[in-house]
Amino acid sequence: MLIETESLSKHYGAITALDDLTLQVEPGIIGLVGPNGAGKSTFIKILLGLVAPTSGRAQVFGLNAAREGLAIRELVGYLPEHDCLPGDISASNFVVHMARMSGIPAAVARERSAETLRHVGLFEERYRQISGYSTGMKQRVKLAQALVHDPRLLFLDEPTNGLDPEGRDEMLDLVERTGHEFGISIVMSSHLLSEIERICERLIVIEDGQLVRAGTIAELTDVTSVLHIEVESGADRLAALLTERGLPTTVDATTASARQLEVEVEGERLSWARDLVIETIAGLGLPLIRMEQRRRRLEELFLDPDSGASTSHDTEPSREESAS
Amino acid sequence: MTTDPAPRGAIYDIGYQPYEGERLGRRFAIWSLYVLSLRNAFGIGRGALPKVLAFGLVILAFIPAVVQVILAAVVPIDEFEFVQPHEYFGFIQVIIILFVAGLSSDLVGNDRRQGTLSLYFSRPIQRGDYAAAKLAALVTALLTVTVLPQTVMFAGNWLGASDAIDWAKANGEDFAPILASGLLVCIMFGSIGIACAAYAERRSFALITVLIVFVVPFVVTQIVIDVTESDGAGYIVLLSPAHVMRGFTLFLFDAFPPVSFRFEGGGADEVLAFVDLPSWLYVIVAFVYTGVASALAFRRFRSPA
Repeated sequence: MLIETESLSKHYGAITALDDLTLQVEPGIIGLVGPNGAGKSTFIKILLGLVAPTSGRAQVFGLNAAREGLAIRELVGYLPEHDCLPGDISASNFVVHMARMSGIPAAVARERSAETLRHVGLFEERYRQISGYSTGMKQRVKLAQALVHDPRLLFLDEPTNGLDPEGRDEMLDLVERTGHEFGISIVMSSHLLSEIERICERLIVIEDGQLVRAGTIAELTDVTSVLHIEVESGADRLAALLTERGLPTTVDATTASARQLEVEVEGERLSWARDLVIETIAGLGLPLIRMEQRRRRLEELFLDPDSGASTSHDTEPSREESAS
Repeated sequence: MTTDPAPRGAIYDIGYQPYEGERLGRRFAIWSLYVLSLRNAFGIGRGALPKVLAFGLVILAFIPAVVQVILAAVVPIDEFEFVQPHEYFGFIQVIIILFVAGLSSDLVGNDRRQGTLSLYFSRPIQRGDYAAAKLAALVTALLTVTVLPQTVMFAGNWLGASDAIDWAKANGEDFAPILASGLLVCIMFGSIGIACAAYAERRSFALITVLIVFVVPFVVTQIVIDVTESDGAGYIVLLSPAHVMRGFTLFLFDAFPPVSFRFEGGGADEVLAFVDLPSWLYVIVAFVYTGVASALAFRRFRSPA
């Protein structure tokens, strides 16, 4: 198990940063999602052993974060959200220094620093002072310093912050390749679900310090599927009848003609639902224009209040949560 | 690993290798932070300005030593001595204070302002280790404006002496106080500097705070003694780090001026002679300053920023 927490809470005076967080995370590329102030950064700092939890327990690689922080920090890399680079030294010198501070012997540190900076896409520029770098180059240096000591786990706090769309793409590619090709586990926080969806295999959602969801992206997006049905007429009658037969259906009122319907179906009931829809349409004699099924996008799970997908962990615990 | 031609002309994955070697852990991390801080202090690996400032002050601190050594080569030392070892720190006190102010604000203030502190704390060190490495770096750097010029002067005087053996017999015992007083200046001023810089929110504030802590009590003490001409106010000298430095230096060289019953104006040494406190007290107070300042600095970094 990569990360394991049990009833983890952190209070800063009257402010609750984390509230009874219990979860287990297996290795892989993990997305950490939540609005600003949800407790993501506090969560990462507790796992790094930098902040002591008020109560509960956190483990990384089976090491207790509160007591064995040194051992954990030797094997993790951290990319903070805010600016953290000195201006008046070269990226090359800085990354060498950060490698040494992770316990890499001096000669190896120089070698690895050059390799790592190449890996993130900095070549001759690495001998120039950091103050002259663009935001994108600075983000790469931040990634390089987190990676230079070959950590087993990387914490990336909003790594695409401040980047233009192209820089964002390149950074995500880089993170993905780092995770897949070098077998380094990554916990990446982001407030952009599209980024998480693109590269992460697992997801932890935190809001107001509480765990909302945890699981694989596939699990979460497979929980429900959506059938889109479009009929020439009689959408209301069809919706009523389907609902009556045990398949809650809504008419999409946003389209002018109101002839599109949406049905939410759990994965295993999909073929039954499809048969029922066809049977019902045939029975009513309605002209069917099209029917299609698609997997939900992550964004819909959190943003669409009518989707029926619960955002409360009380009502729909994910597999990992219930396992703990 | 092969070099596959990636799109956008970027080849990212040449050379990245897993690291299977030894990880040297906390001690090496602290040592590395110490070495980098020391390099930073003298501007090595940085731009021109930090180099000019640091080495400029070091050169200034050497001037009395160099002048004395040149004179010793020309004029017999027993006839004329431009500056004596126990006077040296008094001579260059302003330079030492400027050096402490500039370097402590640079060593600590930059990491805080640039956010680098959080990167250091994500490494295998404890929070107190950071303060220890910075303090050690500053103390080491301070040796170049304290013990080093004094040692050069000691060696130069010796070489310039007409009879080296006689000179060594007469002055050899000065070397231990040179080392002891120099080291004590370094740790006391260094810890005060780091403590001030640790609590100042900005680098410029740090610089000014250090200057205030050294200069204001010095000036106030001189004025109070001058105006009151009363040795009842004598203990005020203990509140001035620069006076304490002069006090323990004179004590270590056993060179206290004779007690005077009237303050006749003049420098810090005359003030110390006038207030006539027990001379060992200055050593004790120097250690108290060092202890309190270090404790404050450690406390500052122990609690999360």
